[in-house]
Amino acid sequence: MSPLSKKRLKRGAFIGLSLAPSLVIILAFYYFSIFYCFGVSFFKWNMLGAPKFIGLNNYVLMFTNPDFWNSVKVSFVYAFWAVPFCIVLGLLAGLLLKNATFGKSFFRVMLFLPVVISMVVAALIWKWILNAQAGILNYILISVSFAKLGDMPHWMRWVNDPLGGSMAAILFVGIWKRVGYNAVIFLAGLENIPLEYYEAATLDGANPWQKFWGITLPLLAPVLFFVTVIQIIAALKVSISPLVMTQGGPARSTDVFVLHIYKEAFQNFRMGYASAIAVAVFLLILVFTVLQFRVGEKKVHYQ
Amino acid sequence: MRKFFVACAFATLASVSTLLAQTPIKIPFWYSVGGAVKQTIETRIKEYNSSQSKYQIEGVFAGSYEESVQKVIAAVVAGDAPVLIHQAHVYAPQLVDAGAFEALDAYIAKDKTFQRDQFIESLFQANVYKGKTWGIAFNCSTPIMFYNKDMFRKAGLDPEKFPDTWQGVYEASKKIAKLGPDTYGLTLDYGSGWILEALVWQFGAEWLAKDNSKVLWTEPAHIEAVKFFKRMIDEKVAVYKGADAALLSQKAAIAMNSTVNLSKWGKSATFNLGTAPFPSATKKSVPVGGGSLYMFKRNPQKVKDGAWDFIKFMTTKENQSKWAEATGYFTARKDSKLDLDKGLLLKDKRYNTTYLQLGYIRPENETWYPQFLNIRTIYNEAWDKIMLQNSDVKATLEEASAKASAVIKENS
Repeated sequence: MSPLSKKRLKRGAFIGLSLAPSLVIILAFYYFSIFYCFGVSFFKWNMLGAPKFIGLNNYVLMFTNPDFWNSVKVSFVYAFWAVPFCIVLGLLAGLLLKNATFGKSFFRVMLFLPVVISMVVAALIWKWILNAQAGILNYILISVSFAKLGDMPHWMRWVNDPLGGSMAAILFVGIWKRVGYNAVIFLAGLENIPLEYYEAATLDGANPWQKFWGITLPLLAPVLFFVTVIQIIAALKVSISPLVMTQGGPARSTDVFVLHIYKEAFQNFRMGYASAIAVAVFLLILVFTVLQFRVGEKKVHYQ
Repeated sequence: MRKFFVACAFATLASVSTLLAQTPIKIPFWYSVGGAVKQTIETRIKEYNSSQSKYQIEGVFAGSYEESVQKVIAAVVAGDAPVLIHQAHVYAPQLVDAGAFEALDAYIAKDKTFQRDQFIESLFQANVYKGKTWGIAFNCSTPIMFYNKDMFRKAGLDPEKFPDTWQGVYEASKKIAKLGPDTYGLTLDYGSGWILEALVWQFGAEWLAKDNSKVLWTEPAHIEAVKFFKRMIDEKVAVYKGADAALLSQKAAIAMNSTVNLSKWGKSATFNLGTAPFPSATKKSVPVGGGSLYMFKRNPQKVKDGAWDFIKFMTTKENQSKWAEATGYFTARKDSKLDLDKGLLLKDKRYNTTYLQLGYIRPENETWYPQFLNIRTIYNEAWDKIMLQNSDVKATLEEASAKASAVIKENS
């Protein structure tokens, strides 16, 4: 063997060995689990008995089950509200962090604090803030005579309201927790825009609004694209806030995908059926992401 | 030289076998109740372990009933189940059907020291299915009525006499609601759903057919029952959900919850808290919930004997009395109830309310239907829809029945 190919072999072996531990974990816990899930979705299995092969029956049951379509609707409604708010507020926060003339560290801490606390803690805090009888938000609303305890609009029942209040409650937590994260990413993107462009624009007499639309946004496009894709996936995968605050209720008004799968698998012990839902959600998010990349390729300008 | 080695071999063998004979048999025990009750269990376990050297119970707190049943099922599938578990009655059917548990009748028959006749019959029978005894009653409870005596007095009602009919509760709630702009009589928080069973039974309606073939939610009596409570909520004399906060902040006067709540609300109530048995419309009936001790089948006999020994220990007269005093759950024995009558129940008559209902208790899942919890979720959601979204009672219950029938069909 020539010395060059021996060196290549050694290098290859070194790379292989270094990657091996992570690869093993990823293969075992991600890929194996995904394929296993695909497999189980063709069976009927309650974990205690033997699995029974039923072909596509789980999928048929799923597509004819209004609860499945409800969780599709709930998840998309959540994403529909969460994504724009997280992005717009995150962008505003990023601009604030970049351009603030005072209190930059203070804002940084306040924005990032929600990000670093655990989601369970965040959900519990908000569950109490939004408690219909004893929470601080309703207390304030009632003391300014916006409503009475015995006569409040339905949404003020928050986690106990199936007509929008519970959705608003989990949206509050989700957005509050995520804004700082997006802000930091946007800040990095903003810092990468050369100041010369702004100076040139000022010389040409541009106002801040024109600067924003003409320089900032187009040059932030790659970052915006990235944040949007990640944000949509994260929003469709939301699980802890509804689990802690509403358990998917009341009347399944916050029964997002992940929660629905979890309940079918571990409360109703329908492993096969839950796996079918998981596969469907996986394919849905995959298709969605591919679509976004197609659109993004055309519209996003990289420099 | 050879003799020396042989002697050494015998010595080693002898010492090892005596060592093995002295090592107590380890018995893993997973229980599902935390907080102050957990302390009580751990104390009992320590007492048992130090009282004899043959068996060693290893108590593990496995989380709430929901969390622990998931762990138990995963362990059974992995072939790694513990020996003893404490689990809620409603989760037992699927494990019994899977053949995971050991029937206890043989142990009861063989063991003369068990005193089977001292057990409160209805509590004991709650663990019998298809003629076999699958568990021993451990932490049973029934729901009872809790009420604010001060608010009753202010509304002109006798604080010592809680109404014994639902019509009476309705009238009382109307009077109490007049006390303020956002004051209510009854609160309706269904917990796991067992309260709804109570309400429905008390109106003479039923929930699940005795042969598990269908749900009985659209029978006329059942619809009447649901309509009764909807009317109370629509008239704003009752409030749906949020019972804890409402009762303790004195915005509502009546709550329905497990007798175990007495220890919690008894301490945090800033008012005179009274208790009473459930009222009735046509029939007196309440569910009995809680958990039992179950033993797994796939273990060596001597391990199972050890588990049985511990079960006996936990259900002796003294330990049952101590248990009921410390936790507020039922004692499963008649003789320790007599002790309690002279002790805790004399000190605080409210702890006796749950015993007053013993004559008409029914297990929550009395037909041991494995899909019970699945169906119960569907039912609870129907109530949510009716009460919170104002949807038509009959139509919603019919829709829910259809869903439940689909589940029953899928699993038959």
